[in-house]
Amino acid sequence: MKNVFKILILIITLFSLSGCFNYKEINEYAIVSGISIDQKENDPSKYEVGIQIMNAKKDEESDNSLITIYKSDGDTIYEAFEKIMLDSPKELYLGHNEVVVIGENLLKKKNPLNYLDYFLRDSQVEKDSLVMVSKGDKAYDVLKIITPLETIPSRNLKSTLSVADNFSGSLTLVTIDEFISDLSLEGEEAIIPSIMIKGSVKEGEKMENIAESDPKAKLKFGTLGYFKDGKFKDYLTSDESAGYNFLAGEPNQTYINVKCSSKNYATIRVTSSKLKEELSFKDKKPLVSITSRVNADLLEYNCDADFIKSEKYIKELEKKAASKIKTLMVKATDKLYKEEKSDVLKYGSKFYGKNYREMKKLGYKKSEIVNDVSFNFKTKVNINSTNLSIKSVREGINHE
Amino acid sequence: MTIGKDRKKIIKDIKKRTGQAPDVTYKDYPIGNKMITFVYANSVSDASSINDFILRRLDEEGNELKEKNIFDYVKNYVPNNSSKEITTLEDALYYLFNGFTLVLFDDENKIIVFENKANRNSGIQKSENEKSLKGPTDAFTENYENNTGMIRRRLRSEDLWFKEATVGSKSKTRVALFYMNGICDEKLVDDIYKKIEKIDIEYVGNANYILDAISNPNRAIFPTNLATERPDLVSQMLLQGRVCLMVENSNEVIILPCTFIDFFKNPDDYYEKGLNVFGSRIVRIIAMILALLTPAIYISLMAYNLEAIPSGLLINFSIQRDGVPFSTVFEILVMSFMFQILRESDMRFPGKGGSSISIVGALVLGQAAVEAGIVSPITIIIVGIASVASLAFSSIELINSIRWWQLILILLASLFGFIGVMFGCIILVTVLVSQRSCGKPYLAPFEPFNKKDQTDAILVKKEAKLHPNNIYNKEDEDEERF
Repeated sequence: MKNVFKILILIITLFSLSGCFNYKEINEYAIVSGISIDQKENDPSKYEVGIQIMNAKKDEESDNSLITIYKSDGDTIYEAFEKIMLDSPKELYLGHNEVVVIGENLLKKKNPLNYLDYFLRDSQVEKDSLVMVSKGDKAYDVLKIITPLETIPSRNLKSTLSVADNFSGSLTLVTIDEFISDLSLEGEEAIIPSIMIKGSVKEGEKMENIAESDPKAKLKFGTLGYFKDGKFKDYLTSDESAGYNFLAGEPNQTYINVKCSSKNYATIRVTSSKLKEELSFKDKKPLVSITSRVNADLLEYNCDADFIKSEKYIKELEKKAASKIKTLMVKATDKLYKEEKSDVLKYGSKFYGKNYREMKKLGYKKSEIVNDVSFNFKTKVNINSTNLSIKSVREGINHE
Repeated sequence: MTIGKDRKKIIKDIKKRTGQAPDVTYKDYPIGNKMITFVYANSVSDASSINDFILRRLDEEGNELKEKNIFDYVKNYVPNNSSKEITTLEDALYYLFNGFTLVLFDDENKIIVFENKANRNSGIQKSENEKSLKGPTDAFTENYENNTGMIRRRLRSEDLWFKEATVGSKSKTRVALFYMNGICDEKLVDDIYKKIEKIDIEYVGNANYILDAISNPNRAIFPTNLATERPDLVSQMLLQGRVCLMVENSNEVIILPCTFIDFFKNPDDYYEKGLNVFGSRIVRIIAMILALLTPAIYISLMAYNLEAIPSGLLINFSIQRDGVPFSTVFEILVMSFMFQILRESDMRFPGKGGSSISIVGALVLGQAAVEAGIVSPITIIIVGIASVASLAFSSIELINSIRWWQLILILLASLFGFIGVMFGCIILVTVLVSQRSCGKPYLAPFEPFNKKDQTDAILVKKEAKLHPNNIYNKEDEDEERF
């Protein structure tokens, strides 16, 4: 009984002192939601790091939290964080970071592997943060823009990108751990979504920006940017981005416009797609045969048709959509592989995984596949549903 | 001490042993040519029945004796259903204070006792602690015969057996072990009965005295016996091969042995459709898990594992906690403690005062504490969930043991975060698995697993209701009984 009493006293003292390992109350942290990395203007060897803090203060009217932004610089990313912590009354917490925005200038000049090590090394940092490049502007400015709908800009970026990834087909989500591994592995190249500021940064950083129905400054996603040998090269066009997404097997719910008559268009929406890649060597050169089967719904049809009476309308539409998708894919591979020799679809490591023996016999390295690879496409589109209507509305006009 | 032959001396002895008790009446009565004496205690016997059935009877017969021997005459002609011959003074005193009338004779070595017990019970009332929605509402009373009758009325079989013992050197309380002959394990009954016979205590307040006297300390904190005041539950349990311990002057009957899952059952479960009962048992099990784990998990999330909270929620938590000077653990402990005080005062407060306490509690604890910045609103929610969940059970002992485990897990969480909570859960499960109730496994039928008995564990199947299984009929090796 005496022992139990002693242990009890020990426990009570222990926990009331609360000097326990790792014990930190939630309000002692500044929760970082976004990080920007730029090159310092007058000293190019230094990095300029901006952070956006979610729980800085409470909006008295709506009980929402308001953001604050800090900026600092340093030779390493962590040095900049340390300097920020001197200014901020709370410790930085990166476990809930949502986005990492990298300035275009920095990305073009330096391989990101030179400065992103910290994000993988520290166990506290969220590895699911999304990476994006700020096209045209400084990355720090992107963090500053206060956006409607979501009062915390970084969360806005994340949710917008997720929605866009689902519906537009020309964007793709890249998390920081994927990004770093793509950059560092041989036979793979990275891809990165881009973001732009539409409007003036000065107006956008004010709280009034979101009070207006048509905000002065908005954030807008651009197309994908691609890397070559670890260096940022350029942006794809939106067709090429869409082609890339089809090839990466992630078109999700993207839409495709097809001409159904000389003037009018029809739109179909992809519901699911299946991609089959066959990797082989033909005439001692790598060949990729891609078979893609796409299931789709008809969303809009502005020509004359009665889908019940005849199958030909749907068949024609399917054929046209298939060739459209094929064109998109050809555009993407032409640009990425024929022109730029950038292996963003990772065929180097895919060949290494599947055709290792042949590759060795022919003397190919992982990084050399991209130079000689050629493509062969087959696409098939199935339109499963015409949705609510079995005719087009124009049908009625014609019969009168 | 034998009773002796001299009537006067017996009276003197009784007076001496009872300290001249003022409620003992001595009445001399001439019969034939001799005198006999009636001795009874006013406080426990019924005076009118003494008048009607003993005195008047003897009076009617007058002085014409049908038998020469007065002793035989009194013994045979007084109409009473429980007359006994007594030869020792100790027995005489026992019966005297049990509501019997003693008849003393000259020149005999024995006396006769007649039962004239006064009916001093409050009558059968509704069960208050275990509310019944659909089933019978009668509850055990403090009257031993009534209670026995309530069980007999439900199980009219001759196989309802019970063993009686008198415990307590001062209280002389009757204690009975009920069981179904042929269903219940005889060895279990014998073991418990032997233990009860050996008890050497002065007073028996209720069944808990007996349990404390026969059992070793309980490591699991969770109760290993089921106390109930509902006769329908006792009857159901008897048919499952349990032993029921009934104590005089106590309206609680203890069911032995019991399993952990019994606390998630309710007698009303058997009066409802099986599927609905399955739902409410799941709710009770979730309530138990919530009651045990909510505060601990909250603390580990807030103090150690922020990354596991969705970020939208994290901002809210962080903003709500801003300005609260105390640590989360302290907040939780203070609020839980306040709740326990409220519960205790609400339970002990007589009559209608309870509602005023809850108003003060709700206002002070809820709104004012948050507005004053002593605790954050989310803490109130967490403590609220845990407290309400712990009240989903009718057994007070279970609620109190949940309180202890809650505290243990809170402390572990505050020291070691999720690792501590996991560690605490492992200890809890280990302790439960190794726990025995009267030598029978506490976690039956899950550990040891028995497929047949699953029909009345979380599920209630029709067969289990209509033909109850004896859950202990297997060849389990009984370990140390107590």
